[in-house]
Amino acid sequence: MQNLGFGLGLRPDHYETILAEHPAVGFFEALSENYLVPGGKALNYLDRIRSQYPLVLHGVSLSIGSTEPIDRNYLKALKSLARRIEPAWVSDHLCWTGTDGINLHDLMPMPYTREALRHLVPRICEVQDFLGARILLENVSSYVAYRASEMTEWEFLAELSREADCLLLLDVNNVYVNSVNHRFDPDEFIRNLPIERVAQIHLAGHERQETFIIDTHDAPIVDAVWALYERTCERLGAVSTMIERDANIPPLHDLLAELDIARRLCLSQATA
Amino acid sequence: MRLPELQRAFQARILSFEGGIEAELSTASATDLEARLGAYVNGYRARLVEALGTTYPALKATLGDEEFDRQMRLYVDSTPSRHFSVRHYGEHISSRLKDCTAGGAGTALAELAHWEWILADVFDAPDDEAVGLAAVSAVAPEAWPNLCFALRACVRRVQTRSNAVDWWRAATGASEKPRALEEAPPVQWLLWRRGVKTMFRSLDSVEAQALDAVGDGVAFGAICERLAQQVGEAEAALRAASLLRGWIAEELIAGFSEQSAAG
Repeated sequence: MQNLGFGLGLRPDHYETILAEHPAVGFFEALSENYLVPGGKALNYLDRIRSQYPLVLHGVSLSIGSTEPIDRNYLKALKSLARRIEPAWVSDHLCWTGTDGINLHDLMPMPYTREALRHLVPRICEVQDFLGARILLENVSSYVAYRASEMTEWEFLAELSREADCLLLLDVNNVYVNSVNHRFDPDEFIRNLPIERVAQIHLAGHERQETFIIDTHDAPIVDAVWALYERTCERLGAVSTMIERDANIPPLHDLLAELDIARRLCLSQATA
Repeated sequence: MRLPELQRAFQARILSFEGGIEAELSTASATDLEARLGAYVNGYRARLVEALGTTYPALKATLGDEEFDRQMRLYVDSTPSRHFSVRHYGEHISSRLKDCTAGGAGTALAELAHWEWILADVFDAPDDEAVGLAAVSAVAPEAWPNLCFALRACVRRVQTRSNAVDWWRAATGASEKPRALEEAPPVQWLLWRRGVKTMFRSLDSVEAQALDAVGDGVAFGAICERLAQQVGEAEAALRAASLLRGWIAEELIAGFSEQSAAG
């Protein structure tokens, strides 16, 4: 997959600054659902920014792990948006977001079981066939684990991506969050990833509770995640990397400064 | 549990605090399962209340953060989201406020919520083109009585019977806060979009009825006849032409077609 360099999440707070200042960003990642609308301001900005930057689409409602049928209306709207803006790729999360017609608007974790693999693989194939392209699935943060799990998260991701022939969006913050929440070695996670399938990396901030971490995307990236990112670059080489910020959104320049850290860490590994 | 039951049990824990999922879960620290489940249970409510605050900023400013949070949590607990986009969550806030708040305040709050819901609807309505005056002027005079005009997809009509729009204006900083949420004489409103800018203005009853007739597909000749009953024969054609010119200039009209004689 093409390396788009270093990008940022596209947020309405930054539309005007992006168009006025044309910052040196390799790509923007747009949240698909924000643009699955008939028209208006958001799509207008998206078109204008697309005319100047590569874009990727990142969804939160595919619910690939739900035991309900895939929402074809959602897929049709997503495909139509993809035709309009021609993203470099489309991603979503390895999770379920609801059942019985309800959307919890949360990224609920999957159990790492054979049953879940058998459930997920044909659904991913269905989506990829419909969209006419391989999708990227992101590892999500979780606060609880299922007793039924039969393998580690990284084993599950490796087997799933191989069987469904999909790509992975590696969220390094989520690896760190889960390593604390479920007490595993994050480097073991990174070491055992199928590196040829990792097409994009996410970085983000989080919120530490008393005994676990919540993935909030509302703060700068912490040192431990930067360090893990550096070791990830050592293993993966240069992969399109972006910073997600969804709350307490700072001025664009603050995020550009944070993105410079990612650039520096990654490039230092590439030249090491 | 199989996967379908597992997801139903987890969802039931989040939506209605039902037990059952706990036995299926493990955590690194045995004592904090409740706190960790709380991240999902509380996060669900916080996320939807936050989304409602984005859709209903003036309602939030009017009610105050605390009361808004209380009312929205009640709504969230009674009304799960069924749409892939959280932008479409909160459609029934207006009717709930009407049911839950007595008197004029209930009317005003419900209308304020409805106003904001319609504004959001206008905000991302389809980007259809507005027809220009030149195209309309080129129509042969004999065709005019049978011309039907189509409103653009972003055009919405609202009637208020309260001072809800004054509260909305106050919340946006455009005017002083009214002294109370209360009923008021009816006002007809027109909302639409020019480019990406959301617009609104009030309508007098003659224009409101004529515009609604256009929206219903009534031909121009029949609209003139209706106008004649309101403003008199002498003024009807002139008034109709003036209204139409204004609507075209304001980019309300998407196009026109000639109604067949049989139609």
